[in-house]
Amino acid sequence: MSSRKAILKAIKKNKPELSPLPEMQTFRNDTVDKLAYLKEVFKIIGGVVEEITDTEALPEAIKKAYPDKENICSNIPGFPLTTVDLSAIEDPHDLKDVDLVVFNGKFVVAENGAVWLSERELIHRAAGFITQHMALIVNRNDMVWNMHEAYQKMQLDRPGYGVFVSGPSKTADIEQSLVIGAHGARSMTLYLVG
Amino acid sequence: MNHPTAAAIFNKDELRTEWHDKALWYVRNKRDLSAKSVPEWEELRNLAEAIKANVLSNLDNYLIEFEENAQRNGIKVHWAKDAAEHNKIVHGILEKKSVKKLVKSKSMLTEECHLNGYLEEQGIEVVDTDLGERIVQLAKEPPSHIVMPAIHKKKEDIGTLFHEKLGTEQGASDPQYLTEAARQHLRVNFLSADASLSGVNFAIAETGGIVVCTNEGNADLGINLAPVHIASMGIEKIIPKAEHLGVFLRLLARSATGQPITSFSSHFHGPKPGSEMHIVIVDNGRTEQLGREDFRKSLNCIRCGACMNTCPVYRRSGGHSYGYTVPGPIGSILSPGKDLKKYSTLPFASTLCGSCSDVCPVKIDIHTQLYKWRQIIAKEHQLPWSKRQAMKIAGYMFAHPKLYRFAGKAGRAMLRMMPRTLVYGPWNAWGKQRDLPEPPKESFRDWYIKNRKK
Repeated sequence: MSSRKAILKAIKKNKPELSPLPEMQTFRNDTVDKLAYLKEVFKIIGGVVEEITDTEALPEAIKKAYPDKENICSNIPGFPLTTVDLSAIEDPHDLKDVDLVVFNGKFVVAENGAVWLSERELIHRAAGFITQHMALIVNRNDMVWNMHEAYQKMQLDRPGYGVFVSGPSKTADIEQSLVIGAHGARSMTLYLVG
Repeated sequence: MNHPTAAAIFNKDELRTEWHDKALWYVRNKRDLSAKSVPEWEELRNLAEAIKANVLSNLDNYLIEFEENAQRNGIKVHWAKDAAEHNKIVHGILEKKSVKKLVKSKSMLTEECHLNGYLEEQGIEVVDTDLGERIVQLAKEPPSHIVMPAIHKKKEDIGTLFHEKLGTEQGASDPQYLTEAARQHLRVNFLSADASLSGVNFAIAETGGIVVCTNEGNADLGINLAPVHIASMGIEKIIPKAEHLGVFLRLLARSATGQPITSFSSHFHGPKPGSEMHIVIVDNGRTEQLGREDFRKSLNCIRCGACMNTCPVYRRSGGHSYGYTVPGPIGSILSPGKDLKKYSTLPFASTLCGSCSDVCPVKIDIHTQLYKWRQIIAKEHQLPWSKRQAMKIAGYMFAHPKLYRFAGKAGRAMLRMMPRTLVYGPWNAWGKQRDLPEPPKESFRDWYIKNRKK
């Protein structure tokens, strides 16, 4: 008997009586000030939130926050700070010297600061991880309260890839001391526009 | 070595035991604050429990559905009945691709299967990339905690280890400096690896994809660069639908470290262009556990580690004292199913205070299961002689009220009169690290007769 068959057979024999799936809830919260909550959460997750009403001012703001960055990638067509064209790169290993990525994200979750990026936004899956710093741009209207709403809103590409990014890469594996910048981005700034 | 013996060795260094206890209690506190910030926390736990109950009751069908959808996404699915088959499958994939170096993110399942040693014997270099995992790998130790693998090590220990293995400055122990050194060292490995391996936090039947959660971003850096990705998962990692992730991702990180969510929650639904993705579905004793009515709920576990952080025994005996891949309360109900004799002391490594069950995000009745394992162990004669005799004597005494009363009276009198050296001899396990309470003047029975029974 193949292992597949043996495992499935053993499960069938040993599993309990069918227990129904519970009805899902979304725990909506219409009274919470999502923006204020998000700002507090960002302090915990080690990121920075900047509000920018005029989209035109974005490149200047990013340049000011990240001066002297040489290799900059973006998924925004014609973004003026771009120096490395992501779509022209074939092997993701060639992204090893990227200093900063500037990505439009799909939406942000207020309860935990997570920004959803799918493969379409990232262009290369590795781009969001190999970079030294990360700037994400989300329209302030694209904010949901919690993860239940997030999964209602998004679409999982199949086949494909997507990631919730909540702050920079971090670790506390040495004596519980929080260190920002473990393997991935050393900083993460969320620009809320509109 | 059994748990009491290993714990006694750990306890010899009192300051270190104290430090370990506090480090984990700190994480437990963070978990409390985080859980309290979610008003619907208990409802989330109920939902998680109910979803898991449904999963276990329909696991075969969900696995078939998962396999079908994963294959549609271009993922190759393998099945392994035990650790040996899992290791063989992984090696087979790597061999076919002539892989010399494999980068790994955290996977307790591969620890359970002892994959690293197996692959190294076959001449493949295995690099663990989670910082804590890399620390214990360099130190040639197993992880002592499932979320914080190197929690038993002080920064000075890690400084010495890194000086020896990575060439950091002698005596340097600043966590920032050591983390940066590991970052540089591991970047080189990420960029030169031929394949990557990850664990699986959740596998979605409906969509045929997997979710991997990390704070460091090490799983993605490995997977998204290397041309081959292997994901190893136990059969119980299945969840029915993507919307259920809403429940589990809200619970997992808050329970584990008190964070609102991990830095990265990555959803893999197929290989990146030009690459391969494999999923190995592993049984290794899980179907047996599914058949044990009293213990199947242990398969709900989402490996957050909250039960370890809260456990007074774990905190003061360290993860290594358990001698099993998954230590702490959850490990103590998983391990006897694997080898009752070998792990017969683990269900006794508990005060049965029930704190583990209280913090468990998927509501496993951990302390009840510990108690049930104890009964099985006693029936199978796996109790040490001293405990068997003590139980026999206690049983006899409780069955004879007059004897019980006499013993109580005698005990109270003797405790008051006997010199300290006689009370705190090697026979007094309770008194090893603490003083006995002041003996009361009278028993509750005497007090009751005097005051109430009129």
